[in-house]
Amino acid sequence: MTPILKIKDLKKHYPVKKGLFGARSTAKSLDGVSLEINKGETFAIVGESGSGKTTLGKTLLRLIEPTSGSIFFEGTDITHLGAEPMRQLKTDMQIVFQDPYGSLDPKWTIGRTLEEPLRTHFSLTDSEVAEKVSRILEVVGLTPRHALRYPHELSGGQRQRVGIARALILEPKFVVFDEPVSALDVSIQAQVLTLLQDLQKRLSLTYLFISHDLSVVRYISDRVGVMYLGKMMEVGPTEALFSEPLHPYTQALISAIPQPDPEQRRERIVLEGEVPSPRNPPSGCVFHTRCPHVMPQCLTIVPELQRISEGRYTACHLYNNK
Amino acid sequence: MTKLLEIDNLSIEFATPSGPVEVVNGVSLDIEPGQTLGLVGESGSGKSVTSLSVLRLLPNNLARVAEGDIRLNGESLLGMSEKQMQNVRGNRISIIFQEPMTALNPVFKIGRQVREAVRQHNKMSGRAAQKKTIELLSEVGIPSPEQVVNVYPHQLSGGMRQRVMIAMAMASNPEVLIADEPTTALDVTIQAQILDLMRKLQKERGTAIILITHDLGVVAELCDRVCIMYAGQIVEQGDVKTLFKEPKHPYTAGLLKSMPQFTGKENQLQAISGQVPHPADYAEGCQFAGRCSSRMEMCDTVEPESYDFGNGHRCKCHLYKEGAE
Repeated sequence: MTPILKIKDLKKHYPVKKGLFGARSTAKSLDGVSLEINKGETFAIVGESGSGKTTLGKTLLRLIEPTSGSIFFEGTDITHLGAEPMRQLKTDMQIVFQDPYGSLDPKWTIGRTLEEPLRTHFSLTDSEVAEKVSRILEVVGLTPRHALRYPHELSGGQRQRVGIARALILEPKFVVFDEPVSALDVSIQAQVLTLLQDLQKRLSLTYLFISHDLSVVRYISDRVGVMYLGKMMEVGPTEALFSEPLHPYTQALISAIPQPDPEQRRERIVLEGEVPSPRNPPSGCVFHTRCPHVMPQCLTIVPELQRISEGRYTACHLYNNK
Repeated sequence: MTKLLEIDNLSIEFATPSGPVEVVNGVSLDIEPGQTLGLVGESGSGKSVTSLSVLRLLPNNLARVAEGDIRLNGESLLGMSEKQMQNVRGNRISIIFQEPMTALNPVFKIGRQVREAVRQHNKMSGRAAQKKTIELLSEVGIPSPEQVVNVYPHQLSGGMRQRVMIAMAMASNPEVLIADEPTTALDVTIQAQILDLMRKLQKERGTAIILITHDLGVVAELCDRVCIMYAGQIVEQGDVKTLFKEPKHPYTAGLLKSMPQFTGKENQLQAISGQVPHPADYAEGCQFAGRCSSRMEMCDTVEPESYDFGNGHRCKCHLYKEGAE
């Protein structure tokens, strides 16, 4: 399979200052992340707040400029692409944000919001634009009548459909979804998830799906990357990773999910403490402050992402010399 | 068994420019000491309004209890004077909210806010209150509570803030704790810690908990009984195991099917089509009829009665009417 998107050792460091005259340091939001996303698959990124998953999604589209590392889209290095070629590339790469209300202009009708990308990227006649708008509204399960409405007149689920329509109207090849269903009720969440699956099949899209909800990720993705404090801890095919997690962090995450089955209340691995601040990440393995299997070398040596078996990688000293 | 808290056929109306709108309709539930009751529903189902009404925290000029009663140990809360009510709030019934950041005052230190809760209900000296505050904070698992009393809410993480809220709510050892989406804003690993904490406190103190949530996973982990709310009504209630295994109401069944199970892909998600109706558009018959897959003719016009399946398992649906298929 050919990767549609490939990133190598991507870093995003923010300068931070403690106090007015304080020492300068850097917050490492992304610290050396590499991955490949294949054409037609759904790659999911999971992690808690502060793990850098959103930064990763935005950096891929260069909505945030990386500090170092490189991004390849369909074989071309886009890391240093100028503004105009990057703008043209946006017809192939799109993003859908979590908060469908915050990302839609309240003073614009849905129709105008959806026309905007068409008008910036193509020169189409008014009737062509109108036709594309009504078509995309039907594709995402709304009706052409919704084009006349304003965001406040729609429900959360409908607004998220508009967000999806806006991303898809340019017929992109690759779409980043940043927590697309987190703000929605369960029954609406299921509607949007099935819509995403259906669209992927019909339009042969590649997805990067960012979420903190492991049940949703397990349902929708083909491969998963688990992030913690700006680093990739484990990468693998979804079913293998969830049924037999390698990294202690992945194991704890999976065990923390409340199961919708009261017959199966079981002992959980409850992690002590909280995610440390990326301004001051722990030395060695960033997870060592919370890890139940911590060993002396974890405090000093940063574990590399190593291949364990076909398609499965993890960054943990437990798997050295195996 | 004695009923600790009893909500009896409660209906609540909100005043709107176009006349009163009923947002909660005929809700009846009860909870026994030491029990955990889950109140589940989507946004707009009336679960928060129901819980706020228990503490009489709804705005007086807008909301009105149209019908029904709320009783704590047999004593009506609706008939109490404001002064008596203050003695109930925080003392016998406490509440914690979803957003620990907005529930804490950003300009006061943690210590001052917890002390206030401690001294509100027990007369004690400043020093004794300080000691009690530190005890409470360490009981809810806050590391180095002596230092935490001197920090402001923004210096704490979301999980820590929620622990502070729990400490304040538990300050006077309430009989009932209402937890309104206590873990929704938290990460999964922190959520697991908070759920563990609530379970531990309940075991030690025997507090009854009303857990309001939209997350059926959290309910399955923590609750003994569940009430499923839809459009201002309880459509089904029962023991948590029976209800998850044999959901009677099509809405409950639909909710369970629309949740991505953590067992993987084998079962396709089945979404419930449509959306929760606005309270002003509540229908005459069954509120769920418009989205229901087993809808019958009478569903549009006749409001279903509540049918009993034994062991407190009740369901409001025409499917169980005698003579219906």
